[in-house]
Amino acid sequence: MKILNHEILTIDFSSNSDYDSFFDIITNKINSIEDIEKPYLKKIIICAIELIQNNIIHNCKEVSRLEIFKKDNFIILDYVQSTDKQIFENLVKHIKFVNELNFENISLKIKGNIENTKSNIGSGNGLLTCRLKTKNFVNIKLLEAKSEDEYKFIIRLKIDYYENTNSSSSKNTIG
Amino acid sequence: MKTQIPAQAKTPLVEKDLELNIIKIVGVLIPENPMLFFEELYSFTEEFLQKTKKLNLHVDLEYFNTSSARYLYDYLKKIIPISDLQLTWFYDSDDEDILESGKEFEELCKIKFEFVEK
Repeated sequence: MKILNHEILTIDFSSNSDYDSFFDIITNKINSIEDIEKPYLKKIIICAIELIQNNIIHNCKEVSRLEIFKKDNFIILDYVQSTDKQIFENLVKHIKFVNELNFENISLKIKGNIENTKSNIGSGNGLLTCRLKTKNFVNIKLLEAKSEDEYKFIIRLKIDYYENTNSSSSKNTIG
Repeated sequence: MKTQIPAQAKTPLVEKDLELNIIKIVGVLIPENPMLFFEELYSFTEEFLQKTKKLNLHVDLEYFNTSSARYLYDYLKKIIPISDLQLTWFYDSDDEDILESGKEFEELCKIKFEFVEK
């Protein structure tokens, strides 16, 4: 695993052992950042766990990269990964669905999934939780489609970051 | 009889105290596939309940992932009918996420939790 000190944290995942140790690396690094208050750090870690594990469940064959950095009044989590065309298209549809829900309905959906999901792995609540915790849209953008089996894309989460306020704004774009 | 399930990188320490009728779950709960952990936790709890039906369950989690939330709910739904359960949910004073999650579980499980600030 390569760790690059780019703003807050960058982790390249290239093997299963990288995924096994990601939590220690993220928490040690994130918790050492003194100028970001704990509630923000918790949200960063919660969202990072969901992004990484979403990738592990659906596609852990390829190298992926998580970058966390501050930009303007946001803390941004970028997760670059690859999958096949079908999974990518399903993910786009799911994210559209997640973004169309208001926060009250997201909470209801999360509770419904906890009560009713029968799948052994995953609850379907990962990206719903990311949207609820960040209070912003989940963004997805195709970066490169080399073949039907290799769609490289980025998921971006933005957490509004103000030192003394919880106000939020939403922009449904990457950039 | 096992007295604990040791903590792993992605699963919490589980300890029991039969004198005080306590099972404590402490740490992080973030496995990709939580099934193995919860099978072990359920066996551990069943063994505990053979000694006493009174169970003080202390849940003190720093993080848990969405996959585990569903399994935690299933676990609680299974033990509620077979025990005299008192659930205490611990949280840090500045950890609104864990407190919020506890309130959601309380609503889902339809039993009263005790919330304790650490």
